[in-house]
Amino acid sequence: MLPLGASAFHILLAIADGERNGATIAAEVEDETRGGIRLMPGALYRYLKQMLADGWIAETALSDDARCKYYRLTAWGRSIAQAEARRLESVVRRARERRLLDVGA
Amino acid sequence: MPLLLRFALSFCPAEFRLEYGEQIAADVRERRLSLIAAALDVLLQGVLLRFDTFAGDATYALRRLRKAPLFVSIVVLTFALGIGANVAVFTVLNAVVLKPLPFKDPNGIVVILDGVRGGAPVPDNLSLADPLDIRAMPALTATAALGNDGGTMLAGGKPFAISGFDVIPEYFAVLGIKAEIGRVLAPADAAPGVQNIVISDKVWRTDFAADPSVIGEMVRVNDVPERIVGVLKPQQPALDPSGSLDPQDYYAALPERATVDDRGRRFYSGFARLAPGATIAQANGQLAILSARLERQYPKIYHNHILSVVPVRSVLLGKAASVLWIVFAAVIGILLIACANVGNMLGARWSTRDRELAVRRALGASSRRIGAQLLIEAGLLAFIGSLAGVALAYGGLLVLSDLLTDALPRASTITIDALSLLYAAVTVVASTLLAGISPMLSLGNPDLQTVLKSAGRGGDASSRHRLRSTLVVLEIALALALVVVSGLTVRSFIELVSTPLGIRSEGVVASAPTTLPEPNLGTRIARAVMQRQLLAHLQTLPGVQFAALSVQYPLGDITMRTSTWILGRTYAPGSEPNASDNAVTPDYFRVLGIPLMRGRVFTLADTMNGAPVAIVNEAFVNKYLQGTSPIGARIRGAAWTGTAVRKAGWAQIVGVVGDERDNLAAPPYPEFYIPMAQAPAAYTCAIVYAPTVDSSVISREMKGAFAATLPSVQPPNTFTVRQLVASRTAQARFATLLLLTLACIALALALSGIFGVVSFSVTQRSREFGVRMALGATEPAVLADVLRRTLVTTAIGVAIGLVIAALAARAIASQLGSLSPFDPMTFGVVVLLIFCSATLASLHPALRATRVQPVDALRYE
Repeated sequence: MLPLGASAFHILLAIADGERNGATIAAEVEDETRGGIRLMPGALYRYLKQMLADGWIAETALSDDARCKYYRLTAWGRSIAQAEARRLESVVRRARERRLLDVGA
Repeated sequence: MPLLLRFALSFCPAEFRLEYGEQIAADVRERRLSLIAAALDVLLQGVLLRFDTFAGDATYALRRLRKAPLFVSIVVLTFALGIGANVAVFTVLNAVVLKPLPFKDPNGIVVILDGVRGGAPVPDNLSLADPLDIRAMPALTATAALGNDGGTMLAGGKPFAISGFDVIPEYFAVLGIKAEIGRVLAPADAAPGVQNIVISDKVWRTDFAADPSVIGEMVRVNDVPERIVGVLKPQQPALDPSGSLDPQDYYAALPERATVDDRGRRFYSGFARLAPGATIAQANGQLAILSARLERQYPKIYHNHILSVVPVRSVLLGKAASVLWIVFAAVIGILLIACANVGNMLGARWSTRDRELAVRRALGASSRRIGAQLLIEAGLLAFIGSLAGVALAYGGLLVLSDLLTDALPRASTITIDALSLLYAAVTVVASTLLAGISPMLSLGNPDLQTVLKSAGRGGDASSRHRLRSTLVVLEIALALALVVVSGLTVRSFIELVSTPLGIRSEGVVASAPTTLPEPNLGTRIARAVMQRQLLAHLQTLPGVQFAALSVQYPLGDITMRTSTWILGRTYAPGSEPNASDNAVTPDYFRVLGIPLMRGRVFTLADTMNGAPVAIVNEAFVNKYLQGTSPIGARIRGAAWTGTAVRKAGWAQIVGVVGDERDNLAAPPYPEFYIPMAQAPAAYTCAIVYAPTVDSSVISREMKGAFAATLPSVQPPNTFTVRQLVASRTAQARFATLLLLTLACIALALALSGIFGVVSFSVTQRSREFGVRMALGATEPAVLADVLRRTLVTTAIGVAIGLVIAALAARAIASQLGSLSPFDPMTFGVVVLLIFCSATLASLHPALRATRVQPVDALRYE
């Protein structure tokens, strides 16, 4: 399963601290990556649909508007995101050891 | 929602569209995204989603199939047979029939035929003068004539055998053939005294070491000095209107001559190019007028002759095309049977999953989705089957290549190419749909309650059984038609090969016609001397009882038919005598075992200076000399220009002999023989009867005799009568073998279909049988019940099959020779065969039904 695709990881990150709807997720991902990942609605909802089917995320009934769905991380989704974060952390550590990054920065 | 977005969403699976469509539209508005970019993205995602679904379904199908290796092997084998047979036959059909002929604008080329009114026109009966006249017709432009030549080429002191054509130089222009090096022959090459030839790439490479300076080099062909002026392109096909495209080793120019003598020498073939915009009908109209004019001008030669043209395709490929289309129809029939079989197997397999499917439906899976899964399973099986099928086709064509080469023109070009693979892909799609339809229909729409109540036995078993039986009916019908067609072909083939030849088939070895060396041709005496020497040498060979020379080959490779006159007799227009013409030495009839019926055979006294004599066959007497004594009658042949008869005017019939066949498929043709000593031809065949010596030994000795008496000539190939019969019947044997194999496959598939359906229905009805036996039904009664159902199904299939078979038989009637297409014996035997084998196929499952124990059957409840 790992490494996750960049888009998938950022989607998980965007809802790591609370539920969001589709548009907000896309906006956060775009901010987070400074415009590097721009999720168009079609792609976004395909990701969300797949993650729902795989049990990584769940829909919440928070909104009054039934059409505007909110998504939250499931326990399984959280452990996947954590695993990916740890993997990235070790990648960064190695980059520091090889002096690709400033050690103190 | 913007129209663009709605359009893009329509490419997404319905599920996704309903769930997220509105949301996506709302997001596009809220985030102020470019509509075009968003729509393009939705479109792309739609395709990806569909692919995901497909990949998921395919993985699922693969996983399910892996659990049923027996089912998979049977289905893959069935598809492999069906698709493999199709690919193989399509490949042959494409290479031989569908591809355009390998010449410039082949549709404009027509073959010139010459025939006698009321007889079949033939392509090799032209004189050298005819093309000159024909060229003047407005509907025809260039005209070429050619004669088969060949013999020995002497280059750099070493001789080698070559095949070749003597052609009117326009041959190259009509066909658009260009030289690789040097030039092709031009009209100037036909001038008297010019001896130029063009050689093939093959000869250039093997005999001249691909030396470019070969142009201008002098060689000797049959002892005549010739200058090489050009080398043709590799594999350059030649056009021989009597049915071949085989490349030739060299081409020499024929002079354009139009003397009366030339008009009488009628053994050239010719073809022409239609003028732009002209039709065949116009050309034939003009040729009819020309024929009438020639008949007035040269009544002795053109008496009753009609020149005509036909498209080159029909002459060259006509027979092969009709055989191949029949075989192609047969393999499509096989594919249909294979699909029906697989359809039934898939249906049986999926019907046991009723409960699962009903539950999935209840949980929201759409019928379309389940149907798609079924189709994917069928498609995967068809695809794997097609891989095996293409491999089978490749191997099959390899194994059959000799047979194909004997039976079909341009068989060397048969290879599995991109078009064959495309055809394979088409058959995969077609078989997926055909095999998928019936199980998809039988999935029906059982609701959860019914299915659960029926405890896994299937909701509407009887309607499904009907569907399956319908497929079996179709299989039986198609198999019956195929077996009938192949049965008819087998019978006509047996009739063909058991045709009495009129000559002995054992102990006879004949040489191919050999051209005598030309420098010595000056006088007919020289020819006669050479022939006498050759014959004398042949007679002394150990083991040879009789030896003879003749102009015609046994079983007629070259058939010279000529107008004939009988002194003192007149015939109604259209039925004037026409006969096959042969010049032979005295022992010819003893060599071939042709019986003398009346009079005498030729003797050594029948020389150029003796009185002209002739011998006719029984067919000649029966057709033209009814009611009189044939002995003593005087006849004359139109082509006898170089013979003793020319001075005397008429030859007297001195004997009548039995009929010798020149065409196995037709009744014996009227024939007359004249002594070779009175008509020394420019070429000759040698024939010996040596019953006690092995034919390979005799052939070697015959070649030795040629080498000793005609040292400048490459000794010809020799053949036994058996080999000649085999080569004459190659196409029929090919069609028979192929159709017989296909009929066996069809029958096996149909029987396995019957077996499968009866087995399945017995399993489904085992509870019913159990109950009936508990209530006192006897075993024979149960057995009879199962068999009766099979026989009813079979009877319906046979009835439909007979109709298809009758139509198919009528379509192939022309291939059957003298056999009636509705031959009652074939039809009867096949119907009996189908009933017996259907009964046999259902016997095993039927017996199983009688062994159902009531207790066991009820225990499943």
